[in-house]
Amino acid sequence: MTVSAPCDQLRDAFRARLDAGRLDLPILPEAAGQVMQATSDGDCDARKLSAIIHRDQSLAGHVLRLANSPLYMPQTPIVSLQQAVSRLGMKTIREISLAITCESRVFRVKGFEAEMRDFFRHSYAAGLYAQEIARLRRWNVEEGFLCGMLHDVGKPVVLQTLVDLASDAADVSHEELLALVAEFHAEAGSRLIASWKLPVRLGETIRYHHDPAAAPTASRNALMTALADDLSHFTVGAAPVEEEALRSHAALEALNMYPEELDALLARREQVAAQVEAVG
Amino acid sequence: MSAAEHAPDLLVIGSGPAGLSAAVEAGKAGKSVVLVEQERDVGGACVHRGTIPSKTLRETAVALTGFRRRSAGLVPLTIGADVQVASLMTRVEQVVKAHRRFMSRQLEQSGVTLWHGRAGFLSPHEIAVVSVGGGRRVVRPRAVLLATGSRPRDPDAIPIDHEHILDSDSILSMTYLPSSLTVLGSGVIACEYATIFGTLGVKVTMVDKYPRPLGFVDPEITGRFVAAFEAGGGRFLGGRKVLGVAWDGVSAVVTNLDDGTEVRADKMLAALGRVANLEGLNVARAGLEANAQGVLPVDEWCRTRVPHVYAAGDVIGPPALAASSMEQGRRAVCHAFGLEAGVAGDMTPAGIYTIPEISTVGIGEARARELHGGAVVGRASFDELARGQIAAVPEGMIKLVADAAGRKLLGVQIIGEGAAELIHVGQMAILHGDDVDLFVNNVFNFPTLAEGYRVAALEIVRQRSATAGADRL
Repeated sequence: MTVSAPCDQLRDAFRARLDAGRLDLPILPEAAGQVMQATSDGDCDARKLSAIIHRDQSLAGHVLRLANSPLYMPQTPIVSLQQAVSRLGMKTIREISLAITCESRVFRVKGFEAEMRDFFRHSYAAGLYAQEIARLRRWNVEEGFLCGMLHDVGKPVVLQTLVDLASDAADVSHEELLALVAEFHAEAGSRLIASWKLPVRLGETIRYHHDPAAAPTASRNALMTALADDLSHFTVGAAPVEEEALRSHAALEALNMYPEELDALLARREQVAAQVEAVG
Repeated sequence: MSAAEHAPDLLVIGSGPAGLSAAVEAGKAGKSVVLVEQERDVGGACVHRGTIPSKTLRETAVALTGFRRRSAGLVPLTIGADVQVASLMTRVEQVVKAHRRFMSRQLEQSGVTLWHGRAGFLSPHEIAVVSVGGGRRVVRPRAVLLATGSRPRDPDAIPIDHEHILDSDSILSMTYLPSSLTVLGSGVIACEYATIFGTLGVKVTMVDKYPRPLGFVDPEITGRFVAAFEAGGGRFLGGRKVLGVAWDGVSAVVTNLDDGTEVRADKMLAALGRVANLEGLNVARAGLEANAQGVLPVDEWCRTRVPHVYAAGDVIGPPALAASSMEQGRRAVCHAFGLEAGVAGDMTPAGIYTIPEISTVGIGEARARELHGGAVVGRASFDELARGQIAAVPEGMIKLVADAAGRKLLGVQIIGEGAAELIHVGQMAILHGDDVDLFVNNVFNFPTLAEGYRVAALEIVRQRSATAGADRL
């Protein structure tokens, strides 16, 4: 694709924003609505609220950020959503959730609403697949879910930032913006995680999920996430990955995943699709 | 594939203690050996999911409790919930690497060919090995050793998800230390993990249908074990049936028991036994089948009913200990190739790495009374020993079991620090057919826990003398 001059300018502007660490993770308006609804009555349904947090990458990220903030002062880092729920209790999680919906920006990405929905659906499906891979390998399932769920957390961050920056550069095409999202999302996501002081291994997984071999210490999680990423594309989204491609996936051998184990993952396709559909 | 690979003298399936020992023994004897391992690294569950990682975590717990006791509270030392489990096992990678290096060197020096893949019988003499990428090789070995090990049993009624409800293969995948843990079962694995996590500050509740844990161990020893476990904050709920286990969807695994008790915990460990890994081997095509216990029956040389097929380790059932598995693998190879095997030892000690440690050899008091029409027992509590006081390990005890005449040593049971090491003193005495007087008539280092042998033996001698005195009167 030939890149236009405005696109180059936008890239430079984004790079400057990225290097300055000025990144923000907005939340979906629907997620905010769901949290408000779940927390509005006195008898807040803990299970429902926990489920909402577990299926939305922005909420999940923000809950972890706040759970690790000086406000709650955990003795040791909170490294999973389940740990946050168990340790802080649902009363605090309810407070945190409400705070997130009040303080966070809501996505305003006119013209990209469909892509934004796809990002979130894809992330949730990747989280579900990554936790299944972790379960098969007897690795930590909570960590697996988080890696899959947050692997593309940079995409909404980059897209929202680009849309903000591009308001004066109307000549940048839709495709060019999406190409910039693809180019920057891994780096932006990992920087965001680092700025939130979340586990280094999670940030590294996000940074290298398209190039697991390059991950300095988290190549195992990066491989798991790379496979979950493509299994998610196989299941949901506009650009599906074919089964044949999955059967020759580069991560399989490194993950010591035999054909029957991949079969078990592929057999979950309808279930994962249904779980994603249920979220809307 | 070379001719030796196509038709090796020995094909070993599984590289845990049994398989590795067999492969090395055969290789050293000049036999062509192919060792098939389905995981990327050799060593089996022992190295990667069982013994080595759990014992590394245990070392941290033991060091912690030892320091806490010996400092008499001078230095406050606690581990809060949420501590990252990996930080308590920092040495595990180093230990596994060193072990792997040692094993690889042994295989290399023995000329063993290592294949990465899964093996299954096509017929009694043909075995297919499928690689992780799907590539397939067929071999016709002269002899086969099945050493595929075991995995945790997955009871239908317990929804093990490896996230909230874990088994012994997934328990060490926990990223952070839970604040509470329910342990189902009271066998060796259950008790080991219950005490490790309890020592690390986790509130542990152990639940089992049996009234006491470790049913094969002397009740006096298990009584001390339960007392120590509960004194450390644990809870043992024996004689209870589990009616249901469920994750509440928010923060707790809820276990309902038949006496109405509800146990809530952050996580659960289901340790309800192990099953042999026979799936995928297609043993029926070799003319083999598992027995009612789900393991492969073998003779004293670990030979199955198919003459050229041997099996060793967990796949043939108890004792399923790493040490006995190694010996089984070695003996199978000796028999298969007509090598000198030596006389089989029949005195295997059991080492249980709970905190406090437990170890036994020979027979217990009840069995001695059954077999010998009586028994004389001597005990030495660690708090009677200078070393026990110094080390602050009062719960420890050495129990010697002698025959009805109070002479011949029949068994030793030990609970307390160093039990798995101390037991070998007793093992050698039993193997040698010695009387308990051996311990009275010899000098032990002072101060040591081994002195307990002398103290316990003196108690037996005193009882013997008292009986003799009464007879004279």
